[in-house]
Amino acid sequence: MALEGTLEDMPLRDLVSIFRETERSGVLTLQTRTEQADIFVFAGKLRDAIVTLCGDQRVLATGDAALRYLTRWQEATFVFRHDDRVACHPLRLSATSHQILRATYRVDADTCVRLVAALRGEASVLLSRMEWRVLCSIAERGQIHEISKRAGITHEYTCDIIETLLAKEVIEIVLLPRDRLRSGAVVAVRGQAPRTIPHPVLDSVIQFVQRL
Amino acid sequence: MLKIVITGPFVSGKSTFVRSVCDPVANEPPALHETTTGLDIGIISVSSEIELHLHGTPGQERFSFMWEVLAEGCVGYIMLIDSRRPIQINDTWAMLQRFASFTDAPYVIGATYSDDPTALPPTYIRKRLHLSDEIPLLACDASSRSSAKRVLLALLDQIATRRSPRTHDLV
Repeated sequence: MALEGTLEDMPLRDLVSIFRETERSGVLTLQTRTEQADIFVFAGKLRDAIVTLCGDQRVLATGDAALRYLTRWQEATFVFRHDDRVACHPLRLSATSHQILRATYRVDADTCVRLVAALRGEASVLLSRMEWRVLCSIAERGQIHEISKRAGITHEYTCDIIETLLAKEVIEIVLLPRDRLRSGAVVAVRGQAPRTIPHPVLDSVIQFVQRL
Repeated sequence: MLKIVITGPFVSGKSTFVRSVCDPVANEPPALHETTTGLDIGIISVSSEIELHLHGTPGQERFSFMWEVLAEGCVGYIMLIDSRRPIQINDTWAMLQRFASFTDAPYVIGATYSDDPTALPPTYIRKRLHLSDEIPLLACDASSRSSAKRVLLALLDQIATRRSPRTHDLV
């Protein structure tokens, strides 16, 4: 039993974020054609990362250096296996995962961000004056070009600060809906419309299924 | 006969789901690591006059021509997604789009294998699928009758909600 996919399906920052939110323990193994990486996670916190060459298993990087190296990976397969024994693995990461992984955020003028609903209880966030200024310019949500206009600073500078705020998890990226799927909101429907079900029939079906 | 379609990407647990809530009448149950290339049909006989037919679709894109045929006349559909396979998020999104072009029947999402310690949380799947809040997304163990039943009831509830307000129906 394992979580499997590619970094195209799910970026590393999402994986780490989910491990943290759900307090997972195990080993995340990433593989490219030439290199392999293992990230050790215990109770949602990253403990170690190791990058090795596939052939002779030579270690290329460990700890923070390995994690920084991994932020540059765009194409790799991954497997995450649950393993509580990771608790015994030495802690070799000095910085928190999200600070290192902030390099993986790709924000541009069209990126839309919003304030997170609630900060974690454990969170203690220190913000610089400029970070506060940008944060106050977000209102509830907004795109970078709107925020930079409100804050009165350049897009590039806004992007830098937004990346820092993302890393501090006080804001999050809003995935702009492609065509948000809504029940009953269909642009064009081919074929037959579903038949109408009489209430007594539906009621008896529901009651029957409840008793199954 | 009321038709409900059980769909979802390749190996998302559709056949298992159909077998959990009713005895299949077509297609032999696939062995472990096998997949459905024909049809899974399960029947729940509610009364002598009412039957609930569950039609499982093949998940592979190359059988997508069958999805539209199966969706015809369905009163609702259940989209299953394996919570351990992020690749299925994009496949599920594409299938939802396809089904939305076939039918405006209500639907629910069942996130299978969600009991696995490595599974993606339903909140993440919902976010990635851009689902609106009114569409139920339930954690589901397709091999458990009670869990599959819960998903089926959620769909029936969606159908009932859509069906409201009550009128004088003709059976």
